[in-house]
Amino acid sequence: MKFGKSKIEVPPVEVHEELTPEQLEAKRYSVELQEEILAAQDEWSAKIAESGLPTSDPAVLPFAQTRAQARQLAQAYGSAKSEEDRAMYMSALTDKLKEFKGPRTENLQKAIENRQAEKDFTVKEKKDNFRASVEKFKTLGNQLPKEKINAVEYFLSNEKQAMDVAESAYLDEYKKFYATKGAKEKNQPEELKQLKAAYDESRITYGNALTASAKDRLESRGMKPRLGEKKEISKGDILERYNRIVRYNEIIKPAAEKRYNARIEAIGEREKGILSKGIGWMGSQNKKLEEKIGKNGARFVKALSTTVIAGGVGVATGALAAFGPAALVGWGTWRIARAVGSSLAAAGAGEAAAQLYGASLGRILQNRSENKLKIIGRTGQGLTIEDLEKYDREREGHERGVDQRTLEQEKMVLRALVALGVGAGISTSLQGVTAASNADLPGLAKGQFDPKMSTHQFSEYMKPHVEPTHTEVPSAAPAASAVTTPVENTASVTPAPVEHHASSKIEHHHATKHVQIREDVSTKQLTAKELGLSDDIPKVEPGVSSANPEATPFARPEYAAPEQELGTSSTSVPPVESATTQADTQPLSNPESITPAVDTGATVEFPEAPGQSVPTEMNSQPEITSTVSHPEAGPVVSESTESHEVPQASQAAESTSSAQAPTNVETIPQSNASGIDHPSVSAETVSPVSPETTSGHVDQPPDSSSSLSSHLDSTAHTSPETATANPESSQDIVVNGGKVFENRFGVPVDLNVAHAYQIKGYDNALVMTGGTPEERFAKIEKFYSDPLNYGTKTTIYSPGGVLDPKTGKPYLNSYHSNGDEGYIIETKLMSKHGGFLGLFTKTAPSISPEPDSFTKRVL
Amino acid sequence: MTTTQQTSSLLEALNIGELEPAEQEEFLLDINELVFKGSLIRMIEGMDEKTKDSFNALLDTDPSEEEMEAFLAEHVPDADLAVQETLDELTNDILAATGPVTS
Repeated sequence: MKFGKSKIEVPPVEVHEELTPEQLEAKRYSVELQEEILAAQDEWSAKIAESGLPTSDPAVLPFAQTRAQARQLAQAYGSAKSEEDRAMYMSALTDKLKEFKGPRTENLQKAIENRQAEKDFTVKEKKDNFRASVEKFKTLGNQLPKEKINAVEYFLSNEKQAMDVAESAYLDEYKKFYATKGAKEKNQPEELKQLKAAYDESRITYGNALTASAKDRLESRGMKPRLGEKKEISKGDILERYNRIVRYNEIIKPAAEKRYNARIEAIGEREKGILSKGIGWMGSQNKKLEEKIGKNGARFVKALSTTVIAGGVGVATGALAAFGPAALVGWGTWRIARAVGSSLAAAGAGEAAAQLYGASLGRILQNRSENKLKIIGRTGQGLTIEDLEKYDREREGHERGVDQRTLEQEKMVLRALVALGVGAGISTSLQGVTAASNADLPGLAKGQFDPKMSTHQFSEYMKPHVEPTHTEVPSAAPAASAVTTPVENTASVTPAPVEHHASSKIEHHHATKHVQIREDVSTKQLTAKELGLSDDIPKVEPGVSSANPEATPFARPEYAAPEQELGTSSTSVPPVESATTQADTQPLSNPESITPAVDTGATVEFPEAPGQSVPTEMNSQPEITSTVSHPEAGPVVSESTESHEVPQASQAAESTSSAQAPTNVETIPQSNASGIDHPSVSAETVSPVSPETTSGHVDQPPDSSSSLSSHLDSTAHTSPETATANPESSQDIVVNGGKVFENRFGVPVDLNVAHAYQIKGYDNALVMTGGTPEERFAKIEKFYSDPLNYGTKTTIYSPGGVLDPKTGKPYLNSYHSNGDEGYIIETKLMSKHGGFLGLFTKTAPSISPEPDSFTKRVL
Repeated sequence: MTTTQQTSSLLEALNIGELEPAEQEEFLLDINELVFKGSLIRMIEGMDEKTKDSFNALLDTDPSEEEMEAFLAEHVPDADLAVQETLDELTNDILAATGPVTS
């Protein structure tokens, strides 16, 4: 507490003066008085702090000032030379003490009491309201006949409301607490803990309501097993699944995000900037990882690292060096795990390996091996490379139709996982994953790690003390297996020496104990699909296309291989000016899972920007280009990205048409030999094209909407609500491969867009592709839900071919956030099929529509 | 409860092994993001002013992972605690919200 400046003039103390008995007595009494005042200060300071009364409160400052004045008077009294002065100071001091102990203290006491009452009332009110809500809804829920779905859902919605109430109360206090300096988890006040408990209760209640709702649906409507499921799924299984997934998506994740946002709001602007940069750094590192091992590989590694982290496995610092963002987390975890230093770490490793195995390999083999791995992990038994080699041999005998590379990659992954189990460390393991992605590529000498090292080199890298011998393992199913894989004779294999961590006890244990894993698959011939082998891993041989994307454990659209049916091979594709496709079938699961989808056959039309090209996001693809032309009407944007589905005939035709367009084309080589995942190729150039060219092939929908294009042009030029903002020169546009999109802290933000443009006078402009318009919108909305991005001005073009259902006209689906001013809708004209017909617009006046209205318009 | 027991229960709480492979991956990626962000903000909160300045300056240089690692090791001794707290919070959240299922 700071004290006001006293107006009392205190005479200087003459230290060396001989003091009279009266003066000595006065000094002694002065000290007593000061001590008393200081004690009062401490007492009241504690009360003020405890009550949370701000120092700016009207009662605090007068109290402090009076106290300071009284103390100074006491000092002056003790230093006074004459009896007369002492009398004067004592008189003033008496008055001041009366004031201090009287009205000042009383006022302060009242202020503290009021504050406490207010605080108690707030908390009590919140708690009471919440409890009343819960009780009310519980009672209501119990009275509802379960067969009435509507009633159950009503119950559900009210449980949600109850949870929202509790959440609001909790987050309120959470934010306040973390806004205080030095707030730590361990110091959380009791009140916050109570609110958290109430919040948890409400979440469980809501979660159970969700489950009840699902159960009710099951009973009343029935639920068929999912397609492809051979075994019948029990109701319990469905409910369990529902419980886990829905509760996570509906309760856990939103709560974690809200709490994170609350925390962001509690920190200062400077800290927000640093945080934003840190997250930007994470994005950039992820990008590098993607460039290194492909998007799917990067996702895999991130998932792997999460598993390891969440499993509490020791993580080597090298993981950070190798894989950045996820490993940053792992770095700390490694230290924790190292500190723990018990066999539990090994147990976690086994579990993590098992779970990751399930996440990465086929489902048929998953359950059996997973369960065994789990047991091994939980019992502290170690896995050895030999174990997995044996398992490999058994399994290899039944691989059919799977190329060598795929097998090697899978083996690499297995070995990486084993490395986890034996405590070799995530560093080695992740490197193994990297190596897996680059299997069969020229590598380095023994002892050196390189992502491109071959299987053999990697194996040696993992087992430097063993001189491996190579044995050709015959297929156990000769008729079926067309592939034999060289596998090291592992009879004498010992695990790799532990580089960084894990206790020596564990190492020894792992080094000496071999756990047999005998999969019963040796007698069964499995197809590639049954084995769940990934077809999304490009083949080594050119011209070999993915055979069965559905068989891959990554059997999701974003993992699906680009179609090569159009006469292209995976390694040699003639330049195509404008790829085609469509991609509104991609599910939106994780923002990063959205890969640009081609939804137009249009071209990008901007003024020429020589030498500017968009770096491709992905790799291992043939050269694919798109064109940029400059029509009179204005720039036109189109996308050129990967295809996730077999294009429709019309689309193929469109592609062909585009490919024939004699526009200036700049090819962008896609270089990546690893090819673990499928490239999302986006490339474009900027070049002048005549308007005729534009009208000739841009935005030609499959159902021939040339009239639409004309209509759009007309609309664009005549609409009074729009203003032409046609960039005059190439200098107006900067194409920068997504880097230009920066939030208000100047941190590049990766929205996983295909292209990013910076257009002078238009802030940033992004072109989002891939997914449905709804998914893109969700992604944008998520971006703007992050407080770090509040106020970021960005225009986002989302060529999705959305037509206004009422007018049938192409729809405006871009907007930018203007922070507190809300959203400003801009008018962008899009073709029915996503072609961006022109930048005919400029930022409209701040009409500040509600986000909901935007939602309605977009969706 | 030990650290490892706590953190491993995070995945157990989600019963992640029972999910589809693709779903497993989605969960893991989600958690990855949550843990990273949560840890980072905690680390920043725990930094003194000087460390914040240094960290800010480091980020401006687009540091390599090695540089980042070295910085954290040298200047942010509580980084592990930040991660642990994040994991704990998330684990508790999951356990709280997935509590007893009444079916």
